[in-house]
Amino acid sequence: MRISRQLPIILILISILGYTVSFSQVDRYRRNNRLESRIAYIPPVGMLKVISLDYKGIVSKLLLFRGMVYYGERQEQNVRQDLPWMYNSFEASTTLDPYNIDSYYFAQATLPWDGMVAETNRILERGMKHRDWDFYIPFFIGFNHFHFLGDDAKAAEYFDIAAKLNPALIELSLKFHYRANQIPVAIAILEELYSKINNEEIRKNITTRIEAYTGADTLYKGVQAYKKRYNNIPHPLNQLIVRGIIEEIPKDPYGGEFYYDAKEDRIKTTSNFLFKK
Amino acid sequence: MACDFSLSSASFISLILTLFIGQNLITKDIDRRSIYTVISLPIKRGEYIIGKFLGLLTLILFSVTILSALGGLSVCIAGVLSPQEINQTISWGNYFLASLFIFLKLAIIAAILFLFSSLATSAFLPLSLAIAFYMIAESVEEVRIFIESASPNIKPNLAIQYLAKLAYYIFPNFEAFDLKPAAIYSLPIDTGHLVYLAAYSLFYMVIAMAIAAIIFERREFL
Repeated sequence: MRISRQLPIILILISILGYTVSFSQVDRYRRNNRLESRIAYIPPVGMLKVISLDYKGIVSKLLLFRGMVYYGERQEQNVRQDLPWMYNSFEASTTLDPYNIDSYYFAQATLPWDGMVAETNRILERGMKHRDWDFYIPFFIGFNHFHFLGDDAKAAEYFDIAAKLNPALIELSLKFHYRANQIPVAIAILEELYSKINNEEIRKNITTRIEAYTGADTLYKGVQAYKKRYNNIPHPLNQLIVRGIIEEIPKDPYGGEFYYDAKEDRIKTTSNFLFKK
Repeated sequence: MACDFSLSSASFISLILTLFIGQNLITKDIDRRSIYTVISLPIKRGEYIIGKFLGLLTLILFSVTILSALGGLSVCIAGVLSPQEINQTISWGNYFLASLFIFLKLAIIAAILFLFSSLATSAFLPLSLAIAFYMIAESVEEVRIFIESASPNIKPNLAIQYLAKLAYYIFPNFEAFDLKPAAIYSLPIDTGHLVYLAAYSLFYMVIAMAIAAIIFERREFL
């Protein structure tokens, strides 16, 4: 009788001992053989949309997080990431929740730097369509065009869109139109700005800038005409007057001198369109 | 992010609650034969079933309200603890509307659950049918879009196309009830559309409950 009463207690004690030992073994194994976050299969986007039911937003964020954890782990171990997988992950994430700014942000921060520029832009275009109030996305696309693809004209186009959403970026869009030798476009933007603003101080600044751009435009057109005619570069710019293409070299209202940078095919000025301080 | 999480979990938990409590309401009465005492009372059977339905609706309403209110609170706390630079504005009006439409969606599911309960003999059948109903209703729009926009070489055959179209008209389009993005990213909402959407859900509920009542009236209990 006494034994049978103590039996359960003894059994429990033995089992606790056994549990502790076996748990420590399992724990050690798990710790040593921890699987790093593997790239898992991502179902086709159309299917994901159906199976994530009411929880598209959550699934979208889950995909983003998986991508982030994966990227960070690989980054720490200095292992190259599987970029196509990451692209698929962001593609799915932004299709499920096209407003998910975090996904666009992270995609922009990772993919183009490893060469997937066109793919990133494709994802970002989707964001631009949905988040039509957000200046970040056109700004990112413009940046990609400028930095990775070297296409100033395209960059200016997207900076224009961004500047419409955030007026602080107008300067940027002007610069890029200028860089892309679309000076008349830059002037048109300035004129529109002029008509909208009532502050006299700012208006004066705008007029100065228009004057400088107009001068640069005249010179640039002159240089193009010269090149066409003589198949050569007018050096110095005075050649344009000597050959009768323009009547005088326009003055830079900022106090600098215009010159022609043949390498970049652009009119530049020593003042860099800034007043001396 | 936090907002999406709180609304999604409010919707998910309330869905589970609706399904598992709703499945028992009528079938248990039948199973335990307590239905005999109820139908011998001087009330109509339709009244009985509608009363139970309204009770379930109250439960769902409380569940959604409490969950989304607490969720909103946690969103506020998260916003204070880790402020975001981008996308920090949450439209609380839209948040309220989103939880309201979660409630309406669950109310439709409850009505369907009652419809199936009124003709089922076990608790399991209405539950599984209601889950299937929920899944179909969530994806009808996606399937319709797929079929309409699929290129000819992967288009399914005509019978399936018509079946999908039929499903689109019979099942409610739950995707329309998903206002979560509007709350999270403070998108503008078309109020007129919402009025129609609410009316749509009400009519759907009334139809389902009316059919349930008719079936229940004619049912024989052995």
